[in-house]
Amino acid sequence: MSTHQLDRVSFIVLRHMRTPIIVLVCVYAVCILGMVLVPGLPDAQGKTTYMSFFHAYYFLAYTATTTGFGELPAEFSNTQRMWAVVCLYISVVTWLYAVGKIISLVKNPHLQSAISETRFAREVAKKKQDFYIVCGFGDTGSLLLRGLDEAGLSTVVIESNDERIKALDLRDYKSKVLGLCADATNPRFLLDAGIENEKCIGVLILSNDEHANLKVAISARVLRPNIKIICRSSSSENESEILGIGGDIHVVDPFRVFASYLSMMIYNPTIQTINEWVSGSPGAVLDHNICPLKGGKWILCGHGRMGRIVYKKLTEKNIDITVVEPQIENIEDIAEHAILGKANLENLEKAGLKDCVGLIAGTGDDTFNLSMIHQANRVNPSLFSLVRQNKHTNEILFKRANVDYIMQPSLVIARMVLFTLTAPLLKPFFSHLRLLYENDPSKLADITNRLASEVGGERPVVKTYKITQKSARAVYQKLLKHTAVSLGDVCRDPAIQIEHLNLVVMVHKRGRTIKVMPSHDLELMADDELLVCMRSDQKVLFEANINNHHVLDYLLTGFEPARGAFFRWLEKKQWVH
Amino acid sequence: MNAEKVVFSFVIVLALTLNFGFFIGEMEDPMHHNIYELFATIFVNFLATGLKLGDRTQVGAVLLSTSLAANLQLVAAAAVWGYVEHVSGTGLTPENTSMMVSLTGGALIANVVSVVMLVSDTLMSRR
Repeated sequence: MSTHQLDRVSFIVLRHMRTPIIVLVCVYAVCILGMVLVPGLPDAQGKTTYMSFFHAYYFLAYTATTTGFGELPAEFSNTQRMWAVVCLYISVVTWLYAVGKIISLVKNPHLQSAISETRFAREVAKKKQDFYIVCGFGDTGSLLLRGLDEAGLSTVVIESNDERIKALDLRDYKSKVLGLCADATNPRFLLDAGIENEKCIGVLILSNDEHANLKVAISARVLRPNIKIICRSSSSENESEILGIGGDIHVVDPFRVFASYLSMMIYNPTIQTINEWVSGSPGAVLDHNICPLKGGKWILCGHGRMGRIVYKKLTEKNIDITVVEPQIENIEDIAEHAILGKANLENLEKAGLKDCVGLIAGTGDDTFNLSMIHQANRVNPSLFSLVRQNKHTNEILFKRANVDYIMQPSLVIARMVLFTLTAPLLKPFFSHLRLLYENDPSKLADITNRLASEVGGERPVVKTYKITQKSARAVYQKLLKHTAVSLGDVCRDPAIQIEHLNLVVMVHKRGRTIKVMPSHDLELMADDELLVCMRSDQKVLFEANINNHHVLDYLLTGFEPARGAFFRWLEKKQWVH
Repeated sequence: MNAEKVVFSFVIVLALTLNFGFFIGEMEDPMHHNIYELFATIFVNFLATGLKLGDRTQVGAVLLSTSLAANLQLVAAAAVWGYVEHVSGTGLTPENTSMMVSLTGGALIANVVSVVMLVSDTLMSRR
């Protein structure tokens, strides 16, 4: 692939340089020949001298390039001077023409894109780490890249907007992220991005263009039949078509994900608080719920694609909700629960602003959402306001506004994709929590309390560990020797063996069996997967527990065996007595 | 018939004929080798190189490389001539002349290959 591209670059250069080179060769030939043939001054014997080829070439070399050296091999005759004037003009003009051609060639956008493509493909091919291909570097893509970078995963980006690629170059990622400005629907660029490379472990398609996403997903599947694909799609027809491609494919519907996230916030604040805390949102702690209200009346502004799903989910959970929507065709089916009109103060009051507990500003317009919250807060200061922030650039405004909770669709989606990649076991964990919420809420409180007391704080680390030779060496070796290692053992504190580290094992997975909140006496086996939630300072300790033989020995037995030969001998002696 | 093909083949064949004309004659005798003929050979060879640029085919690539080889040999020959005339001042002694002429002989082979390829490519296309 790269040789083909290199070929293309050199082809463009040579094709463009052909005419200037030919012209230059001809002009030099004419000038040199003329210089040699024109008679010079007579020598001492009165015989006319002629310039040699070497001298003629030398003269032209410094004249044509406008260097104007001034050092002549010998004094010129007037005929030679005349010819020199002719040479000077035509050769200088030719040189300017050739140089102009080179400059216009360098500035040629096709050549530049060919060069950057070649360079990109070459650097991708050199990658030593497993990587994901991200198609689309908008708000979602940029937030996701930040998360993947922090999790130590490598990515390459294809984005059709030149400005976004320039922005990518300026980001302070821990490892350099390669970016190519190209249309990912052209499969050639997917090849450039290394989709056929074994190191490529997934394609994340996040652009706003539905049709383009579908096309990229299909080309990715054709080029690599087994690769993991995560594709963004907001229409259900497209979604079924994407899922029809088959294989390891996930569809993320931004509206549905966001709507379910938002409605969960209202009808199930406990789980949503855990979710926010696990995601590491700033300010999210387990001590109190983000949305503390239970019953009461809510107002939802905006009943478009997203609002519709929010409304449906909330009414299913018997929450009294009134919609304010300016377009009549959007509220035909729910007319008795809706107020037609813009969400200004008048219409909000009609919807019962004075006695409602909360307001969801969920339109697709940031300015509108902000002004709405602003007005509503003046009438009902105790209102709980949830606002949808559409553009990441408006963050400063939203943070300053008096809003109880800001939700960004791009952030929610980026987070969801990130967890699908880095901690897939979180999904069963949360389904378990939802089940508990419906059947046995006290157990849910137990889990929250356990997380709060054993981990607590803000921004916990959530990481998946697999018991293999590579990621949990010490445990794996012990298991090979048929030594029992229980979950409680690896969670012990290496400083005081009887205590435990500040961490909670959320999920344990063996084959297809998934156990949420496993007990400490569970015995580990090779290839088990653990989802661990811990304080960031405990990560090093836990990783030492599962990787270091000496640490694990101590954790299992409670005493440190002697390491030196002499002390080992001494120990043995003591045992004999 | 196509003007581009005519010019192209003309220049390539001319490069060979001029090169041969310069090369033929007693190796050691400077009288048999004309400096203007060498100049014309170098000029036409450079021109041929220019015309061969930017051809993407396999044949185009080989044609270009033969031209580059011929250019290298001819420039070396010219450099030898210039050196003995202007730097060492020995002039065209039989040894110098034979060295210079044998360099152009190498260029001649490259030009022969070039013309053979041109002819065979034309015959292959059968049009």
